[in-house]
Amino acid sequence: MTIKGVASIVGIYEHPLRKAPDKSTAQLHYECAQGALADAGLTFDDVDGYFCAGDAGWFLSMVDYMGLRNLTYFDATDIGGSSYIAHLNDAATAIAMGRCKIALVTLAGRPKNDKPMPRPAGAEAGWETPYGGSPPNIYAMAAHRHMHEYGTTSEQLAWIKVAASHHAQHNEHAMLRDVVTVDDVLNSPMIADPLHRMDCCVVSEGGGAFIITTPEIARSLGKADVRLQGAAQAIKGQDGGRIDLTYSGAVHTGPKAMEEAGVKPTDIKYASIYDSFTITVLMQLEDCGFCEKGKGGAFVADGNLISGQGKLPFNTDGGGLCNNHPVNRGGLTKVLEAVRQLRGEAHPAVQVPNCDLAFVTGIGGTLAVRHGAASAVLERIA
Amino acid sequence: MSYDKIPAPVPTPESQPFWDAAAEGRFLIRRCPACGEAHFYPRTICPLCHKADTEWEESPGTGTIYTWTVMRKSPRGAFALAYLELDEGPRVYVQFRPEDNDDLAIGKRAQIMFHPVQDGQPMMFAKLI
Repeated sequence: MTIKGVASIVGIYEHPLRKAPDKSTAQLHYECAQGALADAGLTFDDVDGYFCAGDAGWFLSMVDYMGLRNLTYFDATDIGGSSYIAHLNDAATAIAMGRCKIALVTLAGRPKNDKPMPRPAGAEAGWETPYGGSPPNIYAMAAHRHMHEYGTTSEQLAWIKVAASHHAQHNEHAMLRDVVTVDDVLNSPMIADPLHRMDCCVVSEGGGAFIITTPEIARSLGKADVRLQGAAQAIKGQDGGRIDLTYSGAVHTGPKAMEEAGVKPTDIKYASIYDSFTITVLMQLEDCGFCEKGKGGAFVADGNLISGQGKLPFNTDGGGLCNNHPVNRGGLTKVLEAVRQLRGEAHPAVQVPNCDLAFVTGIGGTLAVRHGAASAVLERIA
Repeated sequence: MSYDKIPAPVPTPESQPFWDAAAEGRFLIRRCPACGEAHFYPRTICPLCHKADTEWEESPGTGTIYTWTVMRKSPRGAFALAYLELDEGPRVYVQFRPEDNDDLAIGKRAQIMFHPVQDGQPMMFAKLI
């Protein structure tokens, strides 16, 4: 049994706000759900599957708040920012098993106005929590080791931000719309060696949602059929101290999702690569097979990720580095831009011509300590 | 970085012997009698082979820096995180003492140490040697 072809994405919505002081977190989730359902031509009463992660707070409360009365399947798996790519896989699995027909996935929040949602403590807490490690310095440790083993440079990492900024200039909702240069990135303040401020994503409020259903229902709605053709998820931890920081969990998910879809990295016309930091992108590109391990620096250099210029257009909405990283979780917006590309609804300046095959991948949690990974292949079916 | 801004570790029944030894300046790891491997952080049942209860072992805490970073801006001041690859094998996620912030490099020798944090409780750190 395979996930290939069992489900299609029929509705997407990205909240236009990047700062939301006047709305509640639940309200933002609701607005995102409303937007995605409207895009699909569906109503809340049609929804029988619901998926969300820790940003939604207490799962039961969010379901009750939105008045989702007809749920027959639900899941609140939280693997950080990549949760929503895993939810795509989980929802399609549930649809394939007949557990639900129309699944809603939401993400939203207000990290600048709310206190961070408390995360349940793990068994490692005594040894790790007191240090106060945060994503910038934890991801930085992985970047340092990658540089040490493969000679990756800060200039090469900077090209990832440069490419994202080239795309963000066309997105009216993007937080950062100025095109930047490699020198701009290198001259931005050092946050956590070797990552500069511009190696880091934005912190934004707002959110997004998408709707998954059967291909039959997708066709009946008259929407472009954006079909899930392959998906995979994995967890990578410290493994009792045997952790190797030169690769991410995407090594277990990218190739597997492509194999299920029956495609190769060179077939992919557009890629949404979760970009919490520049190193996150570089490592996933290697791990998913877009280039040889250790050659990610050369692969991303000289504009290779810029739509219309390079071989692999990525994050054409400006990504988390420039556009939006709602609630410090960038996986959902990765799915949205892939769907826009496949529908031909990306901004004309960044739309990939005849884009019929897209790849989405993300890692959530912390790259250098423990994280989840999820990948998906999406295809527009004529 | 000031130690009094670091919260004290909260022991569990499983980790209490580690923190008791830490109060005496001794660093403990656990090793599995079935697979012979040491691991970190300490777990009662081996997380590597899953076959046996592991045993406490005192370690000199010496090793080489596998990777590092200095967080330049933080409410508690600049501080360094690293993975120290112990001579026994495990790579340990650890904070370096602030005196070493400007001298860290992959491959340098270092050692686990303990320093009081909030409530005067000992927390695990590392120092260059």
